Amino acid sequence: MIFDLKMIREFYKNYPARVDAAKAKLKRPLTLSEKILYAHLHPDSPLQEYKRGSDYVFFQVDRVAMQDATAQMALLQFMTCGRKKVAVPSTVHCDHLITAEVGAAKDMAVALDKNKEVFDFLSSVSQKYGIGFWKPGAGIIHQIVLENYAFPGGMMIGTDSHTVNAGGAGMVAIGVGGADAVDAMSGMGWELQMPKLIGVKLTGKLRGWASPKDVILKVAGILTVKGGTGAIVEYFGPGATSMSATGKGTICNMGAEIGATTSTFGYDKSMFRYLKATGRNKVALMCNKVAPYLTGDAECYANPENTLIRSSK
Amino acid sequence: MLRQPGKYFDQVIEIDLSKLEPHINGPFTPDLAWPLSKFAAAVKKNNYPVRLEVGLIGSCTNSSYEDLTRAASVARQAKEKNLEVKAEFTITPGSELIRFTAQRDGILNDFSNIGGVVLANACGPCIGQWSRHIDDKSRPNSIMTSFNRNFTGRNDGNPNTHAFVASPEIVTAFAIAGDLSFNPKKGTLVNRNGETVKLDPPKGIELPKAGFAVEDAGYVAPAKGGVKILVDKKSDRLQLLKPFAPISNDELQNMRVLIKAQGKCTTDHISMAGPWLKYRGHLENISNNCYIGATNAFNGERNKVYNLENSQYMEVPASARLYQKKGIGTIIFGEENLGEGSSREHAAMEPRYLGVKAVVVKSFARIHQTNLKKQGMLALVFANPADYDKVRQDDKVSILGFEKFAPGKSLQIRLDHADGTTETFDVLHTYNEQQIDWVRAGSALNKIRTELGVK
Repeated sequence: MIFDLKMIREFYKNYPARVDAAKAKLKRPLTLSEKILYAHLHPDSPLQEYKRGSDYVFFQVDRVAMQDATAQMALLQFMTCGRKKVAVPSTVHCDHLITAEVGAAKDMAVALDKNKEVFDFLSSVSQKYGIGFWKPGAGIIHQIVLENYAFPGGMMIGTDSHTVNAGGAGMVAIGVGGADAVDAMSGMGWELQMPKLIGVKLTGKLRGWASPKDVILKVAGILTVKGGTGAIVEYFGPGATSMSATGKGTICNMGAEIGATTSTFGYDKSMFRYLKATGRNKVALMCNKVAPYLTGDAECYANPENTLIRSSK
Repeated sequence: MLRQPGKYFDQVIEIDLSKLEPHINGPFTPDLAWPLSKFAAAVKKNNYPVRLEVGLIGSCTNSSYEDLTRAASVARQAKEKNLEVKAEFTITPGSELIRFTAQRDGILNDFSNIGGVVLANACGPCIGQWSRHIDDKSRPNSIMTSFNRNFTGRNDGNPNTHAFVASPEIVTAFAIAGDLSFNPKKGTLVNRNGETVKLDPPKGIELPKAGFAVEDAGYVAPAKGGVKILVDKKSDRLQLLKPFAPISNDELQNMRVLIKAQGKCTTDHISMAGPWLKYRGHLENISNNCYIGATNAFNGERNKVYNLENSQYMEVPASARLYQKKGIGTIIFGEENLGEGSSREHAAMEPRYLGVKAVVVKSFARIHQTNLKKQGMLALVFANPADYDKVRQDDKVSILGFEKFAPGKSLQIRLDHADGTTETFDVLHTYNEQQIDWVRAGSALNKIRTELGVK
């Protein structure tokens, strides 16, 4: 099953023209992050060059995802805004209120009993306002999003810091607070300071015991827990395309640990394979048609000629 | 290598994957990165507890088919090579789709064969939702996870737990060894027969050959109509919200000082987390933590403010409620970067709920300022930060100029001191037209409501 196929179809129909318009305005090649950001400007923010790390910009996001702890106040607020349905496709995921103790079956039973009123509330609000609801036990918000909702070139917010996991499918996915989710669901623009950009060029190929996890563990060692603050980390190069989409998801997920706004990868065959394997062949084919728009321009990824700075490790 | 590449990126890092070693990061912070070849020495040098007590794999970070098959290929070796598994071992599938598929393909079986316990498809230990059984909590101990975060107390709430983060296959290998000085790549283990054995490198499968499968993914589609929202009126965790009434000019006259916060005042001071989290869907209940962590500038104490109505020191929420009951507006003063920290909206909603009309500070953390605006409150900044010192705890405070509230036009505050003297000073604001509409409507959501024509 493909959720919100109509929205995704509409998105890919308009996306190339939006990127072209941004390129014409900025008069330079664009990174993937910039393509996605500029293609998602909200009407409140006109198309113009926004200064990275200083200008505040309103974005029109494609999706909102909420976990069960933060969703409560977000939805209670949303209910007061008078809308009959959420303004953008949204989902609620019950994953935070289940305590692990002895094993899946028993722990689930305890959690369902203890949190019944919260689950019932979230379920009924979701049903009423057109929100997709994932029951307790369905899984963890970020993995459900990657498996069902993330699409290359898209932009979403989620009320949890590891929302960034969806970068594995070439999205700009950002962790926010409940109030931000309310803005997007009620139809307001969602505001963000134009992020700075950190490029990570990956060469070679993982072997033996090394895995994508080790890429982000290494990056965390280099950049530290604050090094990514206010920045999108964009991965590229032959090493990036050699990894699986889920491996890319792992790398993006832990971008939260270096404080990054989010992380992302350009569309490639690994994402094609993943979309297909998760029942989204139609989305994969749409991506193939606009593939050059779903990755950074070659000039941005070409070997930087400027001075090398030795890393601390 | 870090590069400074000019116009496209602000910074560039280059990593050669062919030379990349497995890493183990921690303890207590995810950026303390140890390459596998240097880890054993680091454990020794830093005196980290060398025995690994629990290995935890899975989570949203690392429970893909590829992750699980690679870890399972290591787990299988324990059985094949007759190794005793030394540490406890848990598996958290990230979704029912992956759990069902892994079960079908025998992967979960590979884990249970080495004593692995499959936990619910949920955050669980990764976010501290873990009732860990440990004999002595005061004993320094080590665990290793394939999760993302390992701050002190993150997983089991125990500050003595040293949590390390690594890939699922590395965690599995260490769980088998139960020993942080082991090197899965080069080291050897002695099996039940007394033989010395080595682990082979993991082998994974990117995507299931037979495709993903699931019986009940756990999804509930929105209904076509006729849904009743379920909130028990007696619930202490959930409460429906009533739209806030717009602030009137009258309410901004002769307000009382609820608190003049001194020094650092983050969202944790304004609305504490921890035990209060269970009330995050119940504004009335969670408002009982409103500003209780902030320091009162008049006595240097927390959650102890002077109430002019009953001439007593009270807890902040109680004082606010008393003023509210008597129909008297309240105002909060603060210093620099008020509201820094998390973006939680409760920090703005609670004072709003308790009848606070304005928050006046030397400077705001941006998100908190925006949240106050969205709730239809006045978030104001001293034109002259030294005016903060003029505020006394028995002042009556009025905001002047609200009727002509406009972008770029400052407001004024008049303090009527108890001794009969008066002081007036300017306060600045950053409201644009739209945000002023929020205040006039009572909140940003009320504004939308009005626009949609909903009564």
